[in-house]
Amino acid sequence: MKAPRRDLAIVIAEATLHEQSPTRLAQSIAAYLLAERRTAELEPLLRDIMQYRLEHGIIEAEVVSARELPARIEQEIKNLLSDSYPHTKHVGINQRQDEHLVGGVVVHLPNEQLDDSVRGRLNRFKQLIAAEG
Amino acid sequence: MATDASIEELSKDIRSAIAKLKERPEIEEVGVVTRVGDGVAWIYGLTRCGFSEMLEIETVEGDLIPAFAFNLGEDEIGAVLLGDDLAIKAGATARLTGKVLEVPVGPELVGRVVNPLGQALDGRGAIKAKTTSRVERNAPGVLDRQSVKEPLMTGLTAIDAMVPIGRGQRELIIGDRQTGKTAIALDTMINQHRQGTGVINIYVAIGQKLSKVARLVDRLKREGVMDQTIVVATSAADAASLQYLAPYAATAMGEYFRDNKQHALIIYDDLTKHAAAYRQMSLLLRRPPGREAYPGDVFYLHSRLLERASKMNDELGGGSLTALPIIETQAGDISAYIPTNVISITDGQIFVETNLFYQGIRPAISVGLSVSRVGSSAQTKAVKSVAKSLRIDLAQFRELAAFSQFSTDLDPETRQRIERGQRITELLKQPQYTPRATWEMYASLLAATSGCFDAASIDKIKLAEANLLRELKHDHPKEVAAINKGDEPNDKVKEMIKKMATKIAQSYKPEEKQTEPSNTTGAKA
Repeated sequence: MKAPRRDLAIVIAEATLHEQSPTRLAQSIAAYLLAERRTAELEPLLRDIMQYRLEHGIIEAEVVSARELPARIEQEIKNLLSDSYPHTKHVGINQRQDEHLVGGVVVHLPNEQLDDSVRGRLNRFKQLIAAEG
Repeated sequence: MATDASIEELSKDIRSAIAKLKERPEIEEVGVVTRVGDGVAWIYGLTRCGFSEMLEIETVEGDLIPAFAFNLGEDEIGAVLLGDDLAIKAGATARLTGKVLEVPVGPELVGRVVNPLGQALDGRGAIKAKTTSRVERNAPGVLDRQSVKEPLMTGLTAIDAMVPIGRGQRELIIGDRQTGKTAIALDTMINQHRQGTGVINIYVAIGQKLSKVARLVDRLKREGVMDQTIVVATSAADAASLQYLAPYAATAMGEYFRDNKQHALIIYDDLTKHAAAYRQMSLLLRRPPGREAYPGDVFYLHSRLLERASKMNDELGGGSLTALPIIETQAGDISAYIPTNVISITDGQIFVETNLFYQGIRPAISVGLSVSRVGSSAQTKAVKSVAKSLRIDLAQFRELAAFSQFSTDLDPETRQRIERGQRITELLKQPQYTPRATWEMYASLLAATSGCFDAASIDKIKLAEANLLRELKHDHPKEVAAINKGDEPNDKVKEMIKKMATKIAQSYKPEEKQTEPSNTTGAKA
């Protein structure tokens, strides 16, 4: 019987919290997904793992910005996330640049998002105008 | 916090906290579209999503496409899109709205053509409705209702006399394609206007050809009926989701009038296409197919819709919502899956037959298969008094007519019965867009069933009828107005009509060569 993805994510997430060798863990997961023909589920599986880890105090956020962020802003984002999620033990940030955002930042979490980009604001403005008819 | 000063401080703190919170960017729950196509999007995340909750999916251009959650799986959500699926790419962001689908309702919609989301399709600007209502609502409970007691006149003699419809009833119109199902519905709408009943019409086109809808709207405008009509239109080119939503949205619009002490009539044209749209959605969402590939809850699909048609009790205003669902059969097969479902849900059915239609008997109502389970208690006394024996007379006529095909030698009584049956059949023919008033039905049926028209030739009986109605209207306007109120006229008035009909019939006597009993072709009525 096919193991539910969420159960799989919990097992892997628990392993990431205790496993000493990340490479060996990655190889095991890859082998399992190939053997079960479930490689297409990798993306949502990783999100499930991130979500589980977030619920256990380890936040990994992807921060997208138009330009490289100064350390001060990065620290502010870390503080904001720590405030938003009580019991946070660690906040890790992966930065990525996307010129289409024009300015500001978008913080991606597994199931949540903080869109404070210029593009996001313009989109919201556009949606408001469309809703007004 | 024992002193006044501390309250002041607290107030300051609250205000500054509010200001800070307002400045603080908001983290919102989002999902990610993993797959999209055929009007369905599969979404990862949004674990707090409720069933039928509205979602918004952001397109590449930053626009929002509405969708509603239809499948809540362990790993993903299946959402049905209410817009263009080509605008959405895998990886798009989906957000919860915390709302279920609502549509604008109220008098602002009357006279308009809208889509199932309540957006105008008639190019007359946005609809500025003050209120909205949920598309999916529970039907009124037992205590909120009362029995059907007021008539909803269709203006078609055959229906009002033999299968009467009451306000709050659900009467199915069923038959093959091109047999006049929509024509019956349209005439009923026109009659509401001609008789000044004040009933609001709601016509729901489900997956229809837009040219047909345009023709219908044009006709309604020409007849002046559009001023009391809402048209909810979806075409065959619209997404299955919109076709699925159309009857529910239209019912929400009708419920507004029902709940505000008014009367509304809703026509679902047709529920066969609605079931097909739901089947398409269900199969795309990978729900297990059942009989004829319909999902298991296809009965509930229509039962929960039609239960919303009701007559409310007097404490709740006594408003009503009458439903005329339409079902298209294949080769007259009323025992197919969807027809039997809807027959069992409704309070009766009007069965229209292809054979009758092509014999020129229009409306092509099959008397034997048509029935109204609750309407007779709502029938006007005037029509009831003359329609009592109509079904039996026609049934006997059919039997005798079929039997007489094998014998040319008929006794006078049988011949008389057959001829009367033929006359009644002729009188029940009615051209489209000519719904009749109660007094017209009464006078015509009284003359026919009491034998006053027996002297008139069958092919001239419509002329005799027209003459009778013209003279009655001209010479006895007071009596006509009294009958039109629905009460059974007294014996004096009855005798007057009979005398007049007998006299008129004499002027339409058959010629000598036509005295032989005519062929029984078209005898089935």
